[in-house]
Amino acid sequence: MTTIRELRVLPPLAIGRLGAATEPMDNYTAETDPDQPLAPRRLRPAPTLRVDPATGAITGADTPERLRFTDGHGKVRPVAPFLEVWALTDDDVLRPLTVDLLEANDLTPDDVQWRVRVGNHKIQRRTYDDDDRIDADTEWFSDHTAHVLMGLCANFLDDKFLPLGHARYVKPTPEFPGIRLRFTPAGGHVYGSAYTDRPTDPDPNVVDFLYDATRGKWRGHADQPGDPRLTIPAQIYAGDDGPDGSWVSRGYLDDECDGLVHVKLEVLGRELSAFGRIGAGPPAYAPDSVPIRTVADELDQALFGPRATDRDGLEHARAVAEEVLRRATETVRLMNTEVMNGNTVDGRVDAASTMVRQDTADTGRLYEPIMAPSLVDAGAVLALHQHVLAALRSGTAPWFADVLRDHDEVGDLTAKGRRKMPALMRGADGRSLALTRRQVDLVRLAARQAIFRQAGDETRGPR
Amino acid sequence: MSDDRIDPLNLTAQLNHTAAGNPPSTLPESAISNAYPGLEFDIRTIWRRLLVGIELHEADNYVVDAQPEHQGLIGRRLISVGDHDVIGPVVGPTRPGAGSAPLTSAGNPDGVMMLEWSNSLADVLADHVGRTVPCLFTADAAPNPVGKPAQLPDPRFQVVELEVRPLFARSAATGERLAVIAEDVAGPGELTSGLCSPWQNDYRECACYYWAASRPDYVNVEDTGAGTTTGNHWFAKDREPREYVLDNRDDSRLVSYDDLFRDWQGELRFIVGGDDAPEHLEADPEGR
Amino acid sequence: MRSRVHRHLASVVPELFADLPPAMATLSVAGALDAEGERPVLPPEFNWRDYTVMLLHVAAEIEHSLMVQYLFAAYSMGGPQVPEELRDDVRRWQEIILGIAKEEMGHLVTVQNLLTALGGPMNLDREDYPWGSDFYPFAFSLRPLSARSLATYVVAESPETWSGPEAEAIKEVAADTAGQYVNRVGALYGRIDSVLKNKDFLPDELFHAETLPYQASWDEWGRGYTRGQRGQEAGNVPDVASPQLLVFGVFSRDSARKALHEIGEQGEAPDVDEQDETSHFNRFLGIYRALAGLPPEQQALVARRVAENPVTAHRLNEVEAADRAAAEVTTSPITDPFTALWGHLFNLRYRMLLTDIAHAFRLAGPLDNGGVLTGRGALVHRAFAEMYNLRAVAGRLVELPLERDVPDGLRAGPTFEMPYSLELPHHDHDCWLLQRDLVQASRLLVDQLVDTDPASARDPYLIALRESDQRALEQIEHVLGRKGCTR
Repeated sequence: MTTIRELRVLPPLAIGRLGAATEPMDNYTAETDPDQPLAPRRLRPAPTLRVDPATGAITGADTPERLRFTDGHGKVRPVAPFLEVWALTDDDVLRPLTVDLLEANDLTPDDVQWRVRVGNHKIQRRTYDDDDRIDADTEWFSDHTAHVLMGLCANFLDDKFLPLGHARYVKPTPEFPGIRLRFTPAGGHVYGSAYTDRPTDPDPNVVDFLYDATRGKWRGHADQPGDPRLTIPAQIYAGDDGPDGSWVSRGYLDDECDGLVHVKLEVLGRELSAFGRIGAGPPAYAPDSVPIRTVADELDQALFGPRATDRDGLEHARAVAEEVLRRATETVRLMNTEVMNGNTVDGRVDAASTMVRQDTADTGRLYEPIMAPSLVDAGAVLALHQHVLAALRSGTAPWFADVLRDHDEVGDLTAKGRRKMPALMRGADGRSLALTRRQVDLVRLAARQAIFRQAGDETRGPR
Repeated sequence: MSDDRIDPLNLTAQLNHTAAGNPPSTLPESAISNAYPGLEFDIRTIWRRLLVGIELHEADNYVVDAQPEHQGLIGRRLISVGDHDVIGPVVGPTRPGAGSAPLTSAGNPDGVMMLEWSNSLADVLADHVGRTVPCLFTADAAPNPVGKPAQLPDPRFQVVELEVRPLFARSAATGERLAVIAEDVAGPGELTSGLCSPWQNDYRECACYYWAASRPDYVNVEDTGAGTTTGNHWFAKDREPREYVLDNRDDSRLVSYDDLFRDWQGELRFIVGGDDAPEHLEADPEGR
Repeated sequence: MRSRVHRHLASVVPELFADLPPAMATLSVAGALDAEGERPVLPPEFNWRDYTVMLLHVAAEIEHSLMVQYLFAAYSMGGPQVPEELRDDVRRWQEIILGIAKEEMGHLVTVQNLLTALGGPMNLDREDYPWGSDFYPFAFSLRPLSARSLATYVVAESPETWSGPEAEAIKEVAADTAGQYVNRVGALYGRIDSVLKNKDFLPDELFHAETLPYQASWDEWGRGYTRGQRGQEAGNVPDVASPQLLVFGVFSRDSARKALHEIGEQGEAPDVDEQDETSHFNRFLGIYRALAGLPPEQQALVARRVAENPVTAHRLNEVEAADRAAAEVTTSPITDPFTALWGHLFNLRYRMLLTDIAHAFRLAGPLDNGGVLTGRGALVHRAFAEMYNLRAVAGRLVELPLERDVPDGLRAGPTFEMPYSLELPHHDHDCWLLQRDLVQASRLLVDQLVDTDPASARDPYLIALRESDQRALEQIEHVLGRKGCTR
């Protein structure tokens, strides 16, 4: 018998994406075309699990003929991730938790219990008022109906709640015996704040008024300059100009959220539990592109430290180098580099919101374009990135390692410093973007070691 | 289910596990992290409670809250942890052709900036988790940035030993690390709390130097006879003429805040291969 | 050096003509510095401006040749045979030599700026090998890195005052490798400066400041490498300072002299200064000491077994004596047909690099922060793209066999053969036609590679190269299709 020792929820961090269409987004893959390695990743439909709205069971896993991101009627199809339960068994293997494995442990799918807790604390983050927290909690359940994530808030109008989507324990079947939960995010609506002691003008921007603007402070809130607790940047909420340069909140809220998905199961008298995390954000509008630095890179660095380790072979380092470059190419493809460089455009200086403007506004640095203005046509920059990517595929060293920005160089606003890569982009500390230190170290590992390879030598090189 | 077996110690495989039916846009790899504050998460928040007993600002070296025994640290600035500075100099020229000098101002007299936690505290997490580490704070509340003193000790600064909290949960069965962010690091709602409210504000206001790969900027790009390119702003309501309208919230040629609040799903177009995804055109054959 | 240049050089190096008939000797005397050693004398067939342009052409060829030789040496380094304990050193040395080659590239571009400012034609040409230079101390020769080849670089970049037992020993190795050493680069630059500084020879109005938008700038060509200040650590390899790429704009007599002075100084340290790690001399010397300190069997492992002077031309068994160097320089024909195609691809991309640079000089950059963009940016980027391509193709050539049916013999190495001409057509439209010709030629070569070895159809680099060439063709077709394009 294979005894279950522990549960895990995989993926440990699943992202949902908002959309009001009834049918969730189809599954697809986004992979490099081996025959066109410099082209955008190719999107291809993939087996898509259809969940029967009535029973909560999966009815099929067909591959759609073509991908559609909207329903054709102006609504975006939400991305609704599945979270699988995996079991660590007594043979030290992580395997999917299925009906069979439950049975082997004298259990049934009904013994599995779920609880989803999500929140939207955007308002509380600004007002510091705990009564502005919006939280939803399904409590424990093991049925297969859709559990609405009802966002409740002390400062809401009576009987109002914020719909944050729903969670559903997918009913296992002989064809699809896995234990899994599906998180379907909300429709992506904007909600408003209404007064209870006076009339509130109708607002075409909001689908409903949820927040009690008389009881709570959100409508009319203004970030106070000089308060070190403010979000950075501050004033990032829907608002209007107020007195003395203040930015006065319109009291809007959205239906994004993040939180935890708990699962528990009693095995041989022991309660096993696990949790994963979910979040709901806007759609990935360029689904064939990957940002240069992602949440996966953050977590990878937090897990394994800022340096390449003995576990990282040369081939892995080379793969990271190529991926970094591919992502840079994808960003460049979608960016007007001429404008973002701070060039004078049609005679207009400081023509748009750019790193150049931000550097000058924040630090008083001289306003000047980052790269030589003649170099930054988007097509030319894209072609350069593609050539570097092509050369990298020959097996030569990623010599661009020496123009990567180090994390402690972000404040170097000299011409040379600002031209390091990634250029023209902003990082989490407000100045030029640096990759994670682990990304940089892996690229440098590849740069140091590549010349000792022989063609066709794909074995792990020593460091 | 997608795969049959995973090595329980292979955290990378677990983190990037594609559950059956999940498209790539569900993975952490699809979420931007040069967060300002981000689109899916403000991932900076996971570092706020790294040092047990205090809570840091997610984007500043500023102590926003503390347990009773460290109440005195509220409002002060963290300068370094162990051997690792969490601030760095800001230098650059102030006139054409001039050399580089510290960029100071009344609000930043030392010309320094905070270095994002993810990178500046990476060694601290890797080397000191579960143990205490000396942390250098300003001795007094410091609303403005403060530079590191040339020599220590310095009466204006104080060292406090703090324990480093793990960021990831641990297996109850094996005691090994798991790939999931620990529960006490961020509760429900905390990973998104710093994002714009509503998020549409970010799309309109924050230009593409944050996240062109997630929020495109320059689309339908084509070559010109001059050896350069032209194309549309993603927010352009009309795709003809094929020219880039400079971003401006008041330009009627571009999608406005109110347009986004009311009908972002109808206004924004998916971009595949750098161009408008054809389905949108199909759904709206007359164009805009 | 080509005879049409060589015959004028009596003006700078009269000793070349000492054993020639009296008529030539007279000319040479006529061209030398006069008795005070201050005032140059104009040789026949020139005025001062044209003479300066001629000398700058010679300087350009020297910088170009140095760059190519150093690149070849750097590309030869590495391989799976390098012992584990030497790998950090080998990688570091390679980075240093590549850095020096990049700096020579900066010198080459700066000389083009000088030519542009004077209104002279630019010169990206150089002689094919084997080639004995009148100025470069040794015959031009592409050699894999070894203590012997390094000795010639050390000596070539050494200051005049360099002496002592170590100096004598290294000079001996260099002479044994490449023949007798006579360094005249300093004499050449000295002569150019002596003309430049004299208002009577070159009036102020001959320096055209308005050509600056056409000249190369550090902003365009520096790629984030250090400007002026001492190199900071580069990211590729710990403890190696990044190169200092010197690219000077020239707009006046004084800026012209400063540019020449700076690049001369970076080449050879004017004095033996052990502390000055920035001079090429000291950097090469440091590598030489470390390498020569290794046991011979280890020394042999730092580079791949690459042929000297690999050539694609089918002049089998040819042995040509170099013009004047004592040691013979031989070429190594590539007889393996597949390798030869890679060699041709290398030559072609090398030609594309030189064409892109020349073409970029034709188009002005924006005069201020913006203005209207031209194709110049695309051309500058393409020049860099070709440098990456050269490195990629060189990476193949150092792994491929030189000779047909000798799979375990010498490897080939990058060929660096010059095109038949580097002249750009007069009209911009026709320059783009040339650009199209070269891309199409590249596609033909890739097709041939695939025909010769079908496994190449899966070569990730060739697949990517074909794709980027396709993209380049599309851009070029747009330019060629431009309405109202002047012819």
